[in-house]
Amino acid sequence: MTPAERNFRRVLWLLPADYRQFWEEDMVGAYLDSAADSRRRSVGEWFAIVWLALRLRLSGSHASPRVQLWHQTAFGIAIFATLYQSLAATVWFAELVGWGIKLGFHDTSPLSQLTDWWDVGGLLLWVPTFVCLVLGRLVAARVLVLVALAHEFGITARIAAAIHPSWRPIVPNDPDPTHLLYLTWLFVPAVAVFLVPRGFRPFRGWLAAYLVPAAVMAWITVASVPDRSDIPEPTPRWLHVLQFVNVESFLHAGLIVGMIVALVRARRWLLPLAVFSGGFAAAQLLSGGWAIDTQEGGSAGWAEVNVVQLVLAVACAVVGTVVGFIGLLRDARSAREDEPGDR
Amino acid sequence: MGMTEPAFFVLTALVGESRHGYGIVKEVEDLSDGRVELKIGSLYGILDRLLTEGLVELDREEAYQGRLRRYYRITSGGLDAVRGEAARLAANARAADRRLKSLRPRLES
Repeated sequence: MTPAERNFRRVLWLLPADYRQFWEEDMVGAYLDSAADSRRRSVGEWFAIVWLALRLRLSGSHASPRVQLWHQTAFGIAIFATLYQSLAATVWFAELVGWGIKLGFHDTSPLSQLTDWWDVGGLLLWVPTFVCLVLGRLVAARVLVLVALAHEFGITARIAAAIHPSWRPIVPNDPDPTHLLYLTWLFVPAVAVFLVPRGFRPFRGWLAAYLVPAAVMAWITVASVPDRSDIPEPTPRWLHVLQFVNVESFLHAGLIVGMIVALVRARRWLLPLAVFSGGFAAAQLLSGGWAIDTQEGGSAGWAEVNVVQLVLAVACAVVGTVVGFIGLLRDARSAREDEPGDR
Repeated sequence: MGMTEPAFFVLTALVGESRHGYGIVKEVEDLSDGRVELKIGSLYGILDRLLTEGLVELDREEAYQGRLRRYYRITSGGLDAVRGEAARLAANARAADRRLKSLRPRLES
């Protein structure tokens, strides 16, 4: 056995066992034929095998039911994360427009530092990314998500550098871990467009999952912006309720309803939705997202607790855990039933 | 939805003649004027899919330098797929050609 053949066979070990059993000798033969033709020997051949192994193990017909289950779940979580990024970008844009309408589009706007076209357009890229993904326009979605990711890294670095002059992005011992956490989180939605499982069917119903909450949350956001930044009180009395029924509360309530619907009607999305909901609620609870900001810039105790949001976040975490457990049991059972058919 | 360009060339390479793995690689390179250079990993990813879809099947095995070489042939379903894809590409080319011809007089005037 020549060193070239030995090395090539080592790379082939990355392939699933059943696939290797059927194809290995033929692949080695073809490789040796191509290696004899000196111009074709390249590291690229090895990368092609690595890529093939990755595809087969994640979404190919050679992945075991258990691997397919984990892949489907990871993709589901990522698609909900892309939806969340789209909604977050829409809310941010609504806030920008709200401030602009009520205070005027000039330099006194609290968001004026982030109002050039690249900032606005870049953050909104999550919306077309999500739309392209659910409509099956995967090439467009992949290009958009890469640009959105680059933009988020750039803008997060700028904001963080403004708050903490000593901050440097992608430094392991960063003094403010929330920024690194956010940048890391961004890879979750990005995963969705690169690991679309075989058999994923574009579904226009996903558009409603964006449009309906986006419209409601944008309205809440615009209505919450005070008429004057220096005199916040003259807003109508009924608007005070928005202090408690805010965007996060609406999102938690929507996730709870979504999980109950998925429990009955959309079993395929149950586990990813439960994991995403539980994780989102836990992150809100741990980061103090239920606290109402005071003039001093932080919460000081129970007087500043948004009770509605806190209750909904706890409920979302509990429902997410219970429903996730049910979804896991269901999926594990169906994976066990499928196991004998695996090649 | 149309098939990928490498899969189209692999099927086309098998029209009229069964071929072994590296034979397909070389034929695809010739057919595409050197534009499509299939890696071994890419070729066997495509062959596996085409075999599963019934567009290609195993023809025979031959001994060559102490190894067994597998030859693949196209099925009738594979021929239909190539015809369909070729017609689709030809229609696209005709549409583009018509549009370009209509542009020419305006450019000349």
